[in-house]
Amino acid sequence: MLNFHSTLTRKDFLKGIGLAGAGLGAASAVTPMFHDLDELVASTPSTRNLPWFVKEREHGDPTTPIDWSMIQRRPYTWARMDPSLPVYDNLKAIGAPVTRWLDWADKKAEDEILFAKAREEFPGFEPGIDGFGDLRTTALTHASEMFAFGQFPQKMNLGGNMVDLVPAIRAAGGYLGSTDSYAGPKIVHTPEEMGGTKYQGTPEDNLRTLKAGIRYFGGEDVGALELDDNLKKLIFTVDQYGKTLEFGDVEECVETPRQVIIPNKCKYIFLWTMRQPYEWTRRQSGRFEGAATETSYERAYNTKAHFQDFARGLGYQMISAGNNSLSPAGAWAVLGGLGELSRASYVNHPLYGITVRVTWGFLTDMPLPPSRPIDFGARKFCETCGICAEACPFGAINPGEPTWKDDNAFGNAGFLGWRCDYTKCPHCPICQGTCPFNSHPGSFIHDIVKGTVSTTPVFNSFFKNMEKSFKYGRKNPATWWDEVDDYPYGVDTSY
Amino acid sequence: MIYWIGVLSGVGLALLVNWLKKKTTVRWYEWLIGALGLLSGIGAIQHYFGSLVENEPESAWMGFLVFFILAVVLLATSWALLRRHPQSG
Repeated sequence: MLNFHSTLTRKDFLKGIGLAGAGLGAASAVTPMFHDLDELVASTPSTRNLPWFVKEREHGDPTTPIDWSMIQRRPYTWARMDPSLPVYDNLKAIGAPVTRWLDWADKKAEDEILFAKAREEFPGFEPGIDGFGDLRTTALTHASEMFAFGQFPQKMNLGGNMVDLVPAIRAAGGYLGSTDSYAGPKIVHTPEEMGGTKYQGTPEDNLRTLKAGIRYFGGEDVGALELDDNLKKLIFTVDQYGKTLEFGDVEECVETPRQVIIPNKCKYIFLWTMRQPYEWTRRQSGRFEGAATETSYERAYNTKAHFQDFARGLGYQMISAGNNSLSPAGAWAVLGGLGELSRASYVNHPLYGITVRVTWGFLTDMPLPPSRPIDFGARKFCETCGICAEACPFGAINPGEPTWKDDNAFGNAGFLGWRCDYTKCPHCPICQGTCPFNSHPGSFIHDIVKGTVSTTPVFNSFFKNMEKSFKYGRKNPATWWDEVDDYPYGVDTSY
Repeated sequence: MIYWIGVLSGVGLALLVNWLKKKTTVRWYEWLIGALGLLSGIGAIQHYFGSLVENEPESAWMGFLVFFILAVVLLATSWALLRRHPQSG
């Protein structure tokens, strides 16, 4: 039996529930995305589902300071090229600008350093018959290389015949023997060719559409920029294949073996990322990158080609060849908020760390809303960390203070950062697997650490030491075969 | 499974709080120390299993030990403080 008297009518009670529900609903709708009302009003489109610990900065103001007066358009320069790479002969043939051509003796000396490092990290490691480790790992690595960088294999079994593919494609007019072209494969018809009109959406709607498309084909995070005079300075005058990059009043992108003309109307930049298989990223050992990197370069170029034709099917152009054909790969990505520039020179993404293999920028005529640079404390953390620089056996990563100057063959002047010396970097797999920001978000502790790092850098040194004490980072490659039940494609897509 | 673990933990916690309230008057800092101890204990379990999902067995054990020891110390402190209360009834 009730022993109290309520003064609340049933109508008022239900009204109260409704108001409370609406309040809770509104709160839950905005809480994950905005820290305050100003941020809500000023925010870039909701296509960016950034974690709560990520702050957006003003346009043009990433955590890496930039002095635009020091930056001029310049030609792409290959820092180095070693004879074990499949593109070596191609680049020799086309006379690509390479600062340091290595010979087999140089490469062998580097290999010995890498093998010694792997033996030190993982007692029992042996380079095996091709420098990648045991036979299983060697087989996985080689099988991952099949279409890496969009390159057709030199020789391939087609219906019972071993065909010399690259010479055949070159003889038929394919310039490099690769699937890669600035304007994409053009297999898909445009809406106009099919008697329709192009897709019309608001810039925000366009970015959401492109995000859906790139994710369907294997990309992940997206951003956008509007090309201005500063961003244009980042476009190479000559790309890595020796083609001049020019803008002109043309309707469609023009590409010849020596020249690319980009339509002036392509004044937006679409940015996207793709990450590597995580478990192999931190296990790759031996003379060169390895299965995770190779398979990602295959997937990314595949994704790129599919996506370019998806945009074509919508009635728009997506212009880019290799992922640093137009500009230094990470520069636009940092300005568009796909991550912060790290000590190791990778783009550091708030969720995937430096396991992001490509940060790609396409020039497009599809109107897009610019996204903002981000700050999650990563650059500040790099200042006190330096685990990657300690791990590099070639001293290619700057262990000291960031600089403004262009102090090696590859780096740009004009930003205050750490520049990897790519003439020394043999693209070994070590540094990428060492970064504390790579962590898989299984334990709650990573959220606490990332949240703290983003706001309170005083603990950064402690967290660096904890990273080492808890033995995160690189793992013995043998454990992948015997202990790890990896995800399909090696990627945990739940985060 | 996780749902039922949550329900049972919630019921257990409610019973514990009710029992403590009936038994004695718990001071605010005793609640705080006890709650932190409990959180640390839950953290030890979550970190252990979360780290196994990350394929980090060494981190799993080290983290479990750190949070578990912290939980034991905090809960024991809280319990010791409660035992010093004058017996009621």
